[in-house]
Amino acid sequence: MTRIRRLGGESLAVTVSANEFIALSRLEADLLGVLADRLTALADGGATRDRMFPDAYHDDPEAAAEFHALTDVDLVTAKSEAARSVMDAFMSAVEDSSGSRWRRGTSRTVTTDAALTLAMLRNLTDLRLMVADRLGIQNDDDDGSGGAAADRVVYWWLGETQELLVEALSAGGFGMPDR
Amino acid sequence: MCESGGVASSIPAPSTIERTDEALDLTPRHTLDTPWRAIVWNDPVNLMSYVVYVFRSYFGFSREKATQLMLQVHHEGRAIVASGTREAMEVHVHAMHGYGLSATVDRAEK
Repeated sequence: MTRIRRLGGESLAVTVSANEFIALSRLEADLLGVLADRLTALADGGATRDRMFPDAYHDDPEAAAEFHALTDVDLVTAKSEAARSVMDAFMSAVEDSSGSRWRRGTSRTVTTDAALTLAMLRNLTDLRLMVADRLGIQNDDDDGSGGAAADRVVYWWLGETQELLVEALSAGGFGMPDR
Repeated sequence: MCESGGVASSIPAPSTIERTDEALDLTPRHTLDTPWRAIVWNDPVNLMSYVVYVFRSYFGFSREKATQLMLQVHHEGRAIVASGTREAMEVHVHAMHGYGLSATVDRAEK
């Protein structure tokens, strides 16, 4: 399981195992593929709403299409940049072999600043949205039992990691007074 | 339950300030007569804690208000998170989409 330690402010130390790092690398590659497909679909005028690109207007298809046309490239860019920055951070992270000795390989620890913390939160959300699609999750009660076991494990891990991230940040009040 | 979303002021500019023509280019969608709302919808993926985090960090809501809105989204399927001009609501909705939340703009009048 991912380990998260709050260093102060919105800076966190995020440690993943070797296996988690491999899983994350695959997910990020998949996500970048999905995002590239979205750009192609946009260029072809065939982009439709999906989890990562919701309609901004429910009862006005024309306004919804216009909003997609105006904002989707920006969303793709932001999501791609978040994926890359998270991946870059773990790629260049110091490997630490003193971690859990019952795990094979070495863990990696990334020290985030506020920007990388935010990128990580958004990126984990995107990855969960992508895996939820694979699992066919449609409503709150779905547990993805219809999908592949490997995807369910990954989905659980992403959720757990995000929960830990938010928990660590909430302790700091997001750097603002609790109004 | 509505929260001001940075509503554009309808107060006329002081007469001492010379206004350019662009100040007159106000279509009805810019006026307070047709307020718009930003609505966040329930989805089966996003964590409750994350939604609270987004409401607190983006809108600056208190923990209580953010939690209350999150629960409203969870139980009622949606919650109004801001109201104001169409442009301001579109900015909020775009931001929510950036956080991976499902959000829409709609006209407040029924």
